[in-house]
Amino acid sequence: MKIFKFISISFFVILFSCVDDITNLETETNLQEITSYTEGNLTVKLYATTDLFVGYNSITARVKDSQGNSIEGDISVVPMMDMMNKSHTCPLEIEDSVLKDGEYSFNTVFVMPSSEMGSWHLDFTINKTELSVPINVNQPELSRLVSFNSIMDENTKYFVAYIDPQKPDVGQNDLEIAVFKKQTLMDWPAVTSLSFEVEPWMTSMDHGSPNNTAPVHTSKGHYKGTVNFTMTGDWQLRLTMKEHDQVCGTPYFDLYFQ
Amino acid sequence: MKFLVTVFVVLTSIQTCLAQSDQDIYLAWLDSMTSDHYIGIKMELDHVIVSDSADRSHLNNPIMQMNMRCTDQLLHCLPGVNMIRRGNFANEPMLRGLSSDRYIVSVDGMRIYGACTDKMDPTSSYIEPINLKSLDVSFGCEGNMTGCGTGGSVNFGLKKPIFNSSNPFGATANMNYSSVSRAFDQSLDLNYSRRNWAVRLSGVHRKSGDYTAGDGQTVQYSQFEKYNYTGSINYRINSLSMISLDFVGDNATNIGYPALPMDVAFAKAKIFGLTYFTDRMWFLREPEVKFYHNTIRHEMDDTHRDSVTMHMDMPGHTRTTGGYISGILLNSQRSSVNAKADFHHVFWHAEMTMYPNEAGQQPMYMLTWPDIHRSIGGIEFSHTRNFTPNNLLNSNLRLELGHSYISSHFGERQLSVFDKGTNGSRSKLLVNASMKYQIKVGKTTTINSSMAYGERLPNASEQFGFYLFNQQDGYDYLGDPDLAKENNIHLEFGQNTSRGDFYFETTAFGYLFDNYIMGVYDSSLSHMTIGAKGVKWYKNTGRAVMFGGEILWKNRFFKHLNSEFSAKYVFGRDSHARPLPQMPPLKLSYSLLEQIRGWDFQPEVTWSSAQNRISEQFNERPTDSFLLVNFGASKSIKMRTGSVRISLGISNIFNASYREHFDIGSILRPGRSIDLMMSWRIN
Repeated sequence: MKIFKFISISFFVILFSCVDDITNLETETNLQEITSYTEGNLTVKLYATTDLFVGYNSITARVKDSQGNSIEGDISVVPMMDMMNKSHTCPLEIEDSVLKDGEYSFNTVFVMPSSEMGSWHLDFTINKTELSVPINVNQPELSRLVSFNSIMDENTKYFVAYIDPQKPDVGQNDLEIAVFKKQTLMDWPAVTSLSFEVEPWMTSMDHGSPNNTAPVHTSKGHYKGTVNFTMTGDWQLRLTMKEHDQVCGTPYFDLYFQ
Repeated sequence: MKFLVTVFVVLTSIQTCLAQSDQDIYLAWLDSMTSDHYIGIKMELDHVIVSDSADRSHLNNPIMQMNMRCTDQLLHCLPGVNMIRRGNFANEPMLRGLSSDRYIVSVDGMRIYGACTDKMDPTSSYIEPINLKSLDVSFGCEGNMTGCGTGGSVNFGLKKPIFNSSNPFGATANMNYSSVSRAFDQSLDLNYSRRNWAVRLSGVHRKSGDYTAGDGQTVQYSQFEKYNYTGSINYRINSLSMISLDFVGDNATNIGYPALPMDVAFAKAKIFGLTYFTDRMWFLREPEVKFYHNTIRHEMDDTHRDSVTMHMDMPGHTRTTGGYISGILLNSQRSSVNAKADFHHVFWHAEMTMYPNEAGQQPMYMLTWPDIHRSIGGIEFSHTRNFTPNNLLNSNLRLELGHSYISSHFGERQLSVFDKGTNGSRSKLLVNASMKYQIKVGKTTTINSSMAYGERLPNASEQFGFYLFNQQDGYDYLGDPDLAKENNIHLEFGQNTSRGDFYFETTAFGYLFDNYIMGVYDSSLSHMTIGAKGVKWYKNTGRAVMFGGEILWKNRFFKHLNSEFSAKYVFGRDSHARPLPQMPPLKLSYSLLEQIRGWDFQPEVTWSSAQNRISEQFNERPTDSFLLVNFGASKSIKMRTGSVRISLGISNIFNASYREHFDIGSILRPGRSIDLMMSWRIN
């Protein structure tokens, strides 16, 4: 009997801890459901911290069958924008192509908003079944993606995406940006050979802030540094982007916090 | 040399000058508690409050007599003291060229800290002369038992109610008019006493318009208005112990600061003190136990200015709570030891909100004093030994523990900008020690020599200030939480000779600072304030040297004519042998007092040399020399129940257009002014 008791208690403990895990994923990571799409016997739900926007988005997909069981196996994803006369993709970061416990996470940089001119969809291939999930991409109030043609080479178009600080605050903040370029309509590689200067700028008073660390390349086109804000208000994060010590662009991001 | 200058000392004969100290007054006062007639304070009262004094035979400083409208003017007359002006109000005292960063300020032994990050409200602005019992100034490292500093100390002794059974009610009323700023002042001082208790109430109202400088131009934004009100009660528990409760309130509004880009909407102080005196407590003789609390609120205001690049709100406040116990540990014929243990806690908060001019832009907010807390506990001993009656050694030792931290998360975030996280609070042990030897040579001459060592903590702005704009040099200043203590070796040598109507005193001093705290330009930082030249960090800059001297010569010719000559000079250089900023140049002053048939006539001439030793790092400009001539006449009329005194003065007769070297900005000081004063006294 004692053994039975022990087993049953253990069972409940395990069960409830599993239940906790599932609910915590949404509350602790602040993920919210973006969309739910069903085709055949597959249901794909997309989760992100905010609505999808033009810029760097981290997306988690949950795939279930019609019985509600999590699917495992192979997965791939391609974000696609269909326009009047052409289609193109955008920068994408994936770790692997394994659907584990029905979950798959990836990062992508949407380069334009959904509009009458064109619409976005995420094309999944799950265990050889193809599935196209339509999504809506908004233009955020404060731009989180800057694109421009290189000053040095007019044919190179860069896309600089803002990642951190998500919640800028007075004091020291970690800065992270990611840079990609448009090689072809279907090829958007990360740019890893850049160097940066950074200057947070208080535009209404025309002053900067001290002691910033210029972002340097870490991996996969991500650049990390630190920026300081000496007061609340409207700040502009001014970057000077260089390739081979030649300035190729001066993107900036507007920030506001109180 | 232990150079405790009290105002009555300056005014009375010099014998008293060196012999009398605060302690003597206190003893006299305590003695008098047993009698109905309290003489000690009354004496002082007569001497300090020059304006309502009936007996003026020993008074021969014309300015002292004529212009004692505010505490600023009172301080200005003390040897070694200069007043830094930012406008017509709240001048900042400077002790031998050292500003309020370096000396300790207290009111009746209570520590008090101004609430303005731009030093617009030195403590002297919250105290009116009518409430002053005494004014103690010490220089260099000789604290007068109030705290550890490297530049000396100023203590404003508050007037206490008087016990007087034959005349239980006393009153004084004053009225002043000053033409240069069309200023009217009124004050009333009431005293009432019964057998066991006495109460004193006073009120002051001052209102001033813009003043006119010597070049005939009206100096805009130099107006102010203020109310000051005090109340104090003394209650005698028994013949040997007494409780005293003091309150000082001060409320100044609409204060113009022509030298600064902003004015002040209000500056409010509330000062509370509760004191217990008795003859013996445990092993302490004549102990004094005090608890105090004071708050200061200050708000700058740029809404009256025509050209404001950006509107800003800049309120600040400080809160100080503390207490001390002091008394005599040991007292024999040859030797005495005084001791004091004290504690206080101070809180500083100042913030700035900037409002952009363009629509759609958000206001900006920062903490300029990011909720700074500092607790200070100290213990001090002072030992005096008479080897012979003409041969005296005084030694003083103070140990102090200072503990500072920031309590706001926002403030900590601000500091993280410079990788100066403050999770750790900062504690420092401070030592002040001094030794003074005094010997009488012959019958008339006394020689003093003294040596002292002092340390101080960086002040709130120096340690935690965040982008504080200094109008004087045009830079934003940043505090450094990791600043080391500043220390100072202070040497002083002096003599005085007194023979009948002749008195001559010379003093020479030298300050050797190490870790001298000063703003150092950092070209890598960009300024915050619009129009600023750059950013300076407060740094320990190494060794700075200051030396200088004072001369005082008094004489009485014939029977009615008194003369007084004084000279003061300070030389300062920093660690790179460059001139220190705001150094007062040589200043000479000569005054006469002629007394005929109840009238006093007082001409005075003051000359200040040009200052061409300027600090380029501080963006100083040379200052021209100037000559000032003042004249005053006054008459006392005795009445059955008191007296009336009428004074007429003309200051700056030749309307000289001048500024002192250490004044902020290029604002000229007031031109010719005709001052009228009437004072009634009933007792």
